[in-house]
Amino acid sequence: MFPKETEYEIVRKVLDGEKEQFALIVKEYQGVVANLCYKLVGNRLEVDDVVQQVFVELYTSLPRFRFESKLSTFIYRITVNVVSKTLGKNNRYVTYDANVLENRSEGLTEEEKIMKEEQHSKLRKAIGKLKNEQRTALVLYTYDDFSYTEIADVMQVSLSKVESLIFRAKKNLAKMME
Amino acid sequence: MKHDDNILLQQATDAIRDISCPKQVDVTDAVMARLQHTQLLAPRQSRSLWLRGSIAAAVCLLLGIGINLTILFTRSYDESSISNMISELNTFNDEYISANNIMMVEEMASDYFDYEEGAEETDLEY
Repeated sequence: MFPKETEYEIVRKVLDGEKEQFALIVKEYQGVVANLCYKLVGNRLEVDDVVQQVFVELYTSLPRFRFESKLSTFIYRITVNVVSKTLGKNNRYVTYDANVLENRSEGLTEEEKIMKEEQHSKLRKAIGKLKNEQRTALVLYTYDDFSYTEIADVMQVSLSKVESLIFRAKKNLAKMME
Repeated sequence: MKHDDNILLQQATDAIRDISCPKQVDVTDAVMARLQHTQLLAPRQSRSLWLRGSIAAAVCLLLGIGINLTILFTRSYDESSISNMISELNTFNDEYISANNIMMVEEMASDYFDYEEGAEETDLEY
């Protein structure tokens, strides 16, 4: 990701009419947005389409960017909005592809690797069954180590709502993992 | 709460961190083409349009307020001039009445004095 000053400079250029500068933002953030989108929608939707929609929305929303927070926070907010609009509030049951754990399984025995993968697979299924809002809060909680305040800012809800969403997500996960 | 040792939350966190988009996404060209295709205005232009619209609306509003104030002022001026006239008339009336009263008193006084003087003269005569 760009440093804050570079981000601001690019945004200012885009706002001044240098449209092609926007491509730099897309190039830089598309990976992060795609990952966040996938965590939120899984295989339910075409991630490419959602990511495109996020950047189109970002372009039209740029005049509202206040140059106070990081551009990434603004992009996450738009992503959450787009996903929420696309999925709808009551739409659940998101599924994920089976993931390899190569990066986190160093030093584990084959048996431990299998056990860990089984456990993660169960958890992924449970996470996919959470309500969209609970899943979003939980995903943001793990994403870039967001604080509750930042999660509230991205989701545009109160701090207490975030706490309640994470608490309920945790409770529901515990139930599903029994 | 964020730092509590909840194992399940930690496991869920790990599981979520392990979820990553299975395919490489490159939407740069598609997004730029879409922006071009849909003829989306550059934000600055749209902002200036919005600004122009707001200024025009503000000018219209000010003109409207100005006209209303003028009408109100003229009306109040008329009303005040009428009330001035009425109060002047009232004053005139009061003055006229009091002048009449004074005249009446004067006449009565002069009659009285005439009578007194007459009486004195008569007394003198007698």
